[in-house]
Amino acid sequence: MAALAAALWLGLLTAISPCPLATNIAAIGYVARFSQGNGRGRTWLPGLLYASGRALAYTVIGGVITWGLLSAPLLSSFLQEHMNQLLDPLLVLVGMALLGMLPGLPSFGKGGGGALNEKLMSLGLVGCALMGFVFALTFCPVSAALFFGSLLPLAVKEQSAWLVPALFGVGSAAPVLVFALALAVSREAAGRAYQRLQSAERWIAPASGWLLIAIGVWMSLHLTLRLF
Amino acid sequence: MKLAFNLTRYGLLTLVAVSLGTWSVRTFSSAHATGVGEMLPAEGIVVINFHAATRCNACREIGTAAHTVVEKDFGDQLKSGRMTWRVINFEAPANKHFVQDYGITTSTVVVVRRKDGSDVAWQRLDAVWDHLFGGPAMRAYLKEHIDQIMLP
Repeated sequence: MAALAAALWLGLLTAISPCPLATNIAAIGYVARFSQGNGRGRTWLPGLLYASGRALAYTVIGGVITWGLLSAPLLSSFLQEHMNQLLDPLLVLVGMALLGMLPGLPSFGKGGGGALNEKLMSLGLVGCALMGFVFALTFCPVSAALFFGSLLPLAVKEQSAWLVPALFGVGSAAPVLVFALALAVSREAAGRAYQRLQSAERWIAPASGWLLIAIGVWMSLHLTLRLF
Repeated sequence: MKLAFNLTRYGLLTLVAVSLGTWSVRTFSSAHATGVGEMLPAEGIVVINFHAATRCNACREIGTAAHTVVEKDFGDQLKSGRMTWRVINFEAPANKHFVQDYGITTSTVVVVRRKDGSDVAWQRLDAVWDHLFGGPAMRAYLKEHIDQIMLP
């Protein structure tokens, strides 16, 4: 029980460390965007899918290392060196897709319904889980120290290759889960104010796209191009 | 308005292309690197601060704390040349062997005792992360483990 609480705590610490915090803020924008397309009872679904994606990624890494398929130093070094540099253009492209800025592609959720819009919204929900998975693979020194230095030894000691890393993943998605929960609760409680909330959602769509672009540009200039 | 939209669109697409290009060139040149990496001295104690190419604030703090301990607590050994202080980027292509040599997963401190050009004993001090900004606790932890490696 103490090990599971420790895993959750380490995940929470990871969630507020620099890189995961930036990606969690980006995810909040994305989750907010796709929460509004769901029914009132399913507002929490994108946040839950994002957390599941993160939990799955850490579980896979934990499994790969505890089964001895790859060494922790090699995997950690590879993920730190490459994933951030691949993530930043991806964030910019996803943000542009949300804003309808990619030539030849409609923007997600725009167009007032229809089959294409529904398809894009479903794709957005799958994207939440995928985003969680990919974001979890982007390690920075602090998150690498917490996962490879503290969490994995704990998983090995407790002989828990699945549950401990999965709880770590849930903890690392805490800001997004709390946001999704707050959104769901506020919607349910909003009642008569629901119409007002819907009008507020008009700015959520562009704001989430610009948020992803801003974080992607910052990461690109800082981590890939190393300009500052 | 349309001009601003198009300028933003193509500006962002250019940044995406430049980022991917930079990553590709870096990965390709890293795979084909033939340079000589950091060489450790053949004899004595080496205290190494390993870091990634992008150094976070916490990573810099670890390096500063370890350097301070080496200078203050092992000043005599440093002056006599029995101890050496090194800062090494483990992501640099020619230094990547250190990742496997010392099992490095993130920025850390490694203490090595060298003899006749080989490692005789070494310790990776990952708990520097637990003592981050810990002041005396960090100093005590580093000093204790450097002392252990210094014992013949």
